[in-house]
Amino acid sequence: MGLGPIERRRFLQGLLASAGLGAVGTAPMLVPQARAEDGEPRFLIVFGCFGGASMLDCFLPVDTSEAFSGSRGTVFSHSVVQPEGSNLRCPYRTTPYNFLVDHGNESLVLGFQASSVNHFEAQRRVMNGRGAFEGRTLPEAVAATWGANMPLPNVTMGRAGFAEPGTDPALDSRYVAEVVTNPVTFALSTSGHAGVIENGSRALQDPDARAELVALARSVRDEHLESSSGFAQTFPSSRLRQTLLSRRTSGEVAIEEARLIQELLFVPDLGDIFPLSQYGLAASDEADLVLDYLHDAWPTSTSGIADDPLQAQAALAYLLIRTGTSAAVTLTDPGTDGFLAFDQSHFDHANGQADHWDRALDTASRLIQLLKQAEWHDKDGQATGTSYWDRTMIVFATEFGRDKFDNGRDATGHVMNNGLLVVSPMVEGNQALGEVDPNNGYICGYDLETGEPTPFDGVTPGEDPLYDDERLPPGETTIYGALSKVLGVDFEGRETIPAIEA
Amino acid sequence: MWWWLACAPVPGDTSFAPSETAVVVDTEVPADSAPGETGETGGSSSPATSTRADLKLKRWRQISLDLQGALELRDDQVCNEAGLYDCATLNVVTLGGVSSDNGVFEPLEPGATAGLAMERMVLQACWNRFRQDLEGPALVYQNVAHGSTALTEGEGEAWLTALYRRMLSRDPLDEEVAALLDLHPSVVASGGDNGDWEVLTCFAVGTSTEALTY
Repeated sequence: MGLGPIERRRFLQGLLASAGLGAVGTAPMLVPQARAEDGEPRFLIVFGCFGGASMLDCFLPVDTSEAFSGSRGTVFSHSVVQPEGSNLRCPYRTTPYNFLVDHGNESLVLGFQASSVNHFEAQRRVMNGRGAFEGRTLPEAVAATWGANMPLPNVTMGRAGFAEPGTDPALDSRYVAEVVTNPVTFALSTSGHAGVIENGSRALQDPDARAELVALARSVRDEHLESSSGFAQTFPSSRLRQTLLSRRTSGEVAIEEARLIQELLFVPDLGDIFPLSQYGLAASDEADLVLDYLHDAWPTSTSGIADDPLQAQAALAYLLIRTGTSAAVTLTDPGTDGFLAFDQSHFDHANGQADHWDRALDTASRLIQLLKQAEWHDKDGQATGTSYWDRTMIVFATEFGRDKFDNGRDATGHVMNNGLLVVSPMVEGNQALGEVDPNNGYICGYDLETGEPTPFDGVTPGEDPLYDDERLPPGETTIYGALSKVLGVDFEGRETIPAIEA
Repeated sequence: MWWWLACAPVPGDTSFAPSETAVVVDTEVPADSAPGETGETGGSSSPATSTRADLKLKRWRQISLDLQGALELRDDQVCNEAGLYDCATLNVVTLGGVSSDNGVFEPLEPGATAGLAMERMVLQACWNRFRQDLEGPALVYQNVAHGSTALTEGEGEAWLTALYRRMLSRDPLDEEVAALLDLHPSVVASGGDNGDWEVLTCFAVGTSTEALTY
């Protein structure tokens, strides 16, 4: 059953009283004033929702009062709430409700038909649009379009298929994602010398002197040792060797000159846990601000792992974009168990979906607020009155959906039918393309121009639409093309969904 | 005639015996020949050019083991970020390893930060050995008065020969010795002394593509 009017009112009052996000941070939010159509970078953040984040448990829920029950069980359903003015609704939980209140106008649900129920293959396909653009992943395509002048155009903290490179051999390798295993300490790998040696009285123990001395040593190495040795004469044509040598004079220089070892360090000196100052290191000037929004991004033990690894990923994602380091960043919810995440649905669907949707939405909301308060400056350095968020898209990428029927065991397998959540000021938000059929839990397709749904009329309640039913929603290739267009990525043969364009 | 060795010698081994993974590019050299016996030291013979040039980057474990052997360090003495976090673990994927936590089950192509991550490992390993040798007994940094800025050519050559044998399992060429000796006055001009120069030569040799690939 849905909520009665009094219950709904109490629920909403409780939400207002307990809404945590309204209290975080102190920086003012910029009011969106312009769409990102100025030829300057657009940013992509992919939240890899590992394991099948079912849209029936987020913004396309079936109301319990409408769910079909039959021999297969009951279609998964919820007590549903809908914020005033929102065209989207959600299960009766604080986090999704708050998300719709805060970001509903920029939230778009796209009915989506996956083409695989294998985790890794489905992850690859949702990232590369099933080969839509020569096999480039969407982050690679965005990085290649907007990241030419960025030191690390594409960074992934994802895992498995969400972290795999695409398959376009023509793609410049600098747009292939840099893999980050620990966002807390990643900054430390962006310099060959800073923070390597503890402070002391010797020249090499002075950070500035060490930078100068290492530059001298590198010069001798690269200009003399690398050319005079027999090894150099034996392997002059090695591709690997040429790559390593080339990077020393280009990419690595840019990374060090950008001072990423400080700019990307969001954790301050934590004494015995992270004694930065002892090694001549200091955190980003924005570290305090970041941690106002992402309280658990710090480690509190000598494991070096943040208390909330997803928040740590979000913290690094913010700094990567804010500092002009990256155009595309991929995160992956590591799961409350460290691995399964949404795939916990195999043995506990309700809690697995609720916990991980809440976790992803809450972290995304905090990241959005950080990006909203960061003012975008144009290429001439002039303030624009717009924010980084105005030119950013978050895609909650997932492999597939989950079984539609609750057979009493609360355990679900993989199903190709699902929906994808996209949040961005650059899309026409506050809408769901496709609607859920309470008789079978399937999300239908839609007219790509108008967004009008194509419901499964005539399908017997309790039965699934056939795989070749033309009313099913579009697949990876169309979704990839549509998002590419919004992100300013052009390629031949691109499919689009005009209904999502703001 | 050259040997290109994939692994550094074990601690204390000053012979030129190749490891099992050695790649022979040209004709043989007696396995136990001492430096100079083959007429290689400072030689200028031109080695053959490899037609395959199929070099591979050493992964974190190989780099760490090589540094452990060359500099007589324990596993936990090679490199620790902020003195606490093992560099190889933090950069395991960047350094060619795999990470089940990240779902990376096969090594990836070296990323943009791979060179920097390798430099960090080598620089800290060179420094850690130096710091321990200062406290004594000196195991590696033995030939030079560390606190002085005066360096004779003989002292410098002795150190560089020992360094090359440890890091690359061969003697340095004349050109290499000259280039690294030329680094010394620059180091002193920048406020460093012999000890700093020694560590920097260790860094330069240890981060050469010869040291980092096989």
